Amino acid sequence: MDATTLATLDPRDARDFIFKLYKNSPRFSGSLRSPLRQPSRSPESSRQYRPGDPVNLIDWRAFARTDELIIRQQQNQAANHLLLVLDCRSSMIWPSSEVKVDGGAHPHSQCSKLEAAVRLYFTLATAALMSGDQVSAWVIAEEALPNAVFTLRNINECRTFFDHIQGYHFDRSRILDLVHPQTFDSVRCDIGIWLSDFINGPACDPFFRSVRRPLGIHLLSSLETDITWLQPMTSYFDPIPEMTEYLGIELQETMSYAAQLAAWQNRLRQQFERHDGHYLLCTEMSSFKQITDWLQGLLV
Amino acid sequence: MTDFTILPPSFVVVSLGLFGVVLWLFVRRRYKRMWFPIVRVLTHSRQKLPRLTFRQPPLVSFLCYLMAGLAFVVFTLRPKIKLFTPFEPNQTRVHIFVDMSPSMSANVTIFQLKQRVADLWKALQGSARITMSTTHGDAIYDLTSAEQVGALLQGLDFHRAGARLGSTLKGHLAQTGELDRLFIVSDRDQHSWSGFQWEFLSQDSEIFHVDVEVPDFSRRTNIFISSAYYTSPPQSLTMDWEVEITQAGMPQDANGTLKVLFKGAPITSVPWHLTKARSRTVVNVAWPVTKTPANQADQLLWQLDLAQPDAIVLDNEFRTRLFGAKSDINIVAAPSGEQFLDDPVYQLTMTLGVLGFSPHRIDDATLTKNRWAPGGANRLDILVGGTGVGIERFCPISLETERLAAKSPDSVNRTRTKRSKVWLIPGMLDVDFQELCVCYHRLILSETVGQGVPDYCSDVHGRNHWVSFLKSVGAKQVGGDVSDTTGALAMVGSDSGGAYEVLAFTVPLRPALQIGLTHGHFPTMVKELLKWQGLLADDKAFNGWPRIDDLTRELPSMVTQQGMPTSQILSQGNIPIGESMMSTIPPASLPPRWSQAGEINPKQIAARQDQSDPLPWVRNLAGILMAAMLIEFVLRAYHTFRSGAHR
Repeated sequence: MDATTLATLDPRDARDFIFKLYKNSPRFSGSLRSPLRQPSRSPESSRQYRPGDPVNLIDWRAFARTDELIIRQQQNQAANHLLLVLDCRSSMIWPSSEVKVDGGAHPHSQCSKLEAAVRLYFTLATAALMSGDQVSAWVIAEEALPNAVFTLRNINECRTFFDHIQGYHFDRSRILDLVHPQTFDSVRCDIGIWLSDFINGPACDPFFRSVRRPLGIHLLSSLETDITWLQPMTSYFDPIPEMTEYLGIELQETMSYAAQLAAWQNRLRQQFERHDGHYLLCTEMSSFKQITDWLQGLLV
Repeated sequence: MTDFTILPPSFVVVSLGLFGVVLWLFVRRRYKRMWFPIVRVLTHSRQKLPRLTFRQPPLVSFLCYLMAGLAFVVFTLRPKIKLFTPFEPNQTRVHIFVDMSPSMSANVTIFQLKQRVADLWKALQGSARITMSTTHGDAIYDLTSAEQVGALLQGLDFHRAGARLGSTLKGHLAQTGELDRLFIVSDRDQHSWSGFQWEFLSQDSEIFHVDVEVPDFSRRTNIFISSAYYTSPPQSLTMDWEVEITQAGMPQDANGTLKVLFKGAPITSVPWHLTKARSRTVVNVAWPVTKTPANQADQLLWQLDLAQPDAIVLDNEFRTRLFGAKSDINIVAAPSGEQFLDDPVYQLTMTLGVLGFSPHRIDDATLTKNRWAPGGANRLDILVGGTGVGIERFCPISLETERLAAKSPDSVNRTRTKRSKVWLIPGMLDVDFQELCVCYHRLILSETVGQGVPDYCSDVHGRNHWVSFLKSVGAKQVGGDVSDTTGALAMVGSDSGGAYEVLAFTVPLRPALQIGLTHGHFPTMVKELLKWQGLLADDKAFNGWPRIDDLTRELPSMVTQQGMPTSQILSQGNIPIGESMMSTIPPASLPPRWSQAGEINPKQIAARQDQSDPLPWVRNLAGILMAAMLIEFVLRAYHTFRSGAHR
């Protein structure tokens, strides 16, 4: 599983991720940690005492043995309500078939951002359903707000949807055929994951209001993070909102591309952190383990 | 001849057209285009600073600012060449400033100095109005002859205090006003010249240094007493001192004798030896306490006798206060038991002993009246009574007799100002305060001897009555709250021309829980009371003998702190170490050296710089700037008005 990248990810890989969570969880009713704490004898839930901790959580026997104040606490887990948002806007369908890197020899040159996002979307949904959480799977078609949902009640529906989309080579129109239009309001969730390239703008405010802990997974193509493949005398353009066009050599040498990209990421990170959230940049080359490690660090 | 063919206009048009097409093709060269959505988030780099543009300024304002700028330039320029004006005896002011600090005595005797200054005075006589001052003080002397100059200097002589030429001269110049020439008669002593920014004065007048340093100054040696420390513990029966003897200048082997004098009489003398390799040596001196039976206001004189020639003789004398003197204190108190716990003055006696006094315990004044001689200036007698043993045992009538005798008009002691201090203390908390009242009457209030118990004392039965009585007879409160007399620790009273100053306590002077006086606080309180009454030296004021670095600046505060007259501080103060160290500054740091055979034309003098006073320039400048602002304001208002009218 460690070698699995987003370009080759399958929702069936979610089992390994969930199994790791099971090992650390005394209860299997969900992935949400309850704020209620109680004393425990379990060494795996121990940590150093910090000023302000309740003294009834201190393991006095351990203190007698080691002269160190050790806190042993256990926290119950509860069902989590996970909100997944998949950005299906046009900028996600890139790299398109016309993009050729080194004559088409690039291993993931045909894996679009949308494909990587869909793979991750259904894998996370599967993992959440396997751990007993509720999942709301939303899709953004063209507007800024999520406006359609997948009906995901169990892991079988997840796999069915994914197999269907994969059969049509992650075609955007097929994805939009599978969702039901719905208004994004009054949704209250514990964790919200926004999967997008954020080229069409940052995450919307209703999303931040809806979720207690917003997470942003910034999905870019590896061809966007590394532009050494650009042809110097080829013009690269984007027509929205107005025609923007640069020569390859201009992007590589005079536009401070890397610095601008870093500044953009920093702005997005600050936006999530302002709402008590977290941000992660991924490409289709990123390993699934990297994402699961990040999520475990936030959920544990 | 070359034939010129004029091209037809159509050819020109076509050529230009083709050139345009080529240019268009070049510009419109088609690039291969590819959709790259992320360029949407890239921003163009823009020039951050706006482009500089030139705009023609308003002419009048520009001219005004130009004039102001020129004025600034002119103002910052200084005349490069000094201008000389004719020397006019009635208008030209010359001042001679004579350094008479101890270091001068290493170079000249007072006779040589007065001759030197008199010669200078003669050379300048008739060419200007001459004034003179010395480092002795702020006095400015307007002398008329060279003989008066010599007599003045000989009368003043070198002072023992140090002098800083800069601060001293500052005071003098405040009196003399502007000077044309200033002659500073001094050596090159670093201590005297330090902090003197004479270059500042040279902007307004010519400054000359009349150097008195002798050629072999650098080969001379000065040996002096740099410090003396009292090292005995309080209970010691000997006076132990550590005296440090230092040599400065050219080091040499030296020896001699260190003498100690008390009230003019020698106490002891100790030989000392100083090798060439060492710059200082410490001599230990000790003598029995009984040899110096005096109070702590007295002084010790340390004298250095040298076998070798010495550069500065003044610093061979060194004075210190007499530390460790044991003043006698009589404590008259009847014992109430065998144990020290029964003794009402045991803690007081011990405290006084620790503080360096010699307390003498007297159980019954009637039995020891022949030996006991009460009173005396700056003496302390402690009377503890009220315990029912009778007033004569602690407050004999002889005290009253002595006081009234001293108060009589024909008494020889009538004029004395320092009274004998008496502490009148109740032996216990609940005592017969009537006895204390009678004692106070005898010490302060009685007009004739043997009046018995006065009427106002017959009603004094308790502490509150005792406090009220003291307040009613004019005693002043000591301790406690000002608004609550009953909380007073004591009341102090004295009569005019009387012999005693009585500190009448309202509580027993011993540590006790009832009066809130702990064993820890008790010695401190007694020490503070003794210091307040002037019976114990104040740690800060009497820590050492006066040693004045800068006579002009420090002398007034010294007089206030030490309580010594100015003449005594000047004649008996210790020489500052800086004056004795024989350190000099290079001639390059000093003003131009005056030579009476010099090249300076005595008939001309440098023009004072007040002719180039910047104030007129600054005023003109301010006027120009004001005019510029006014003009610009008027012009702008005019344009605004016109543009409004056009609309």
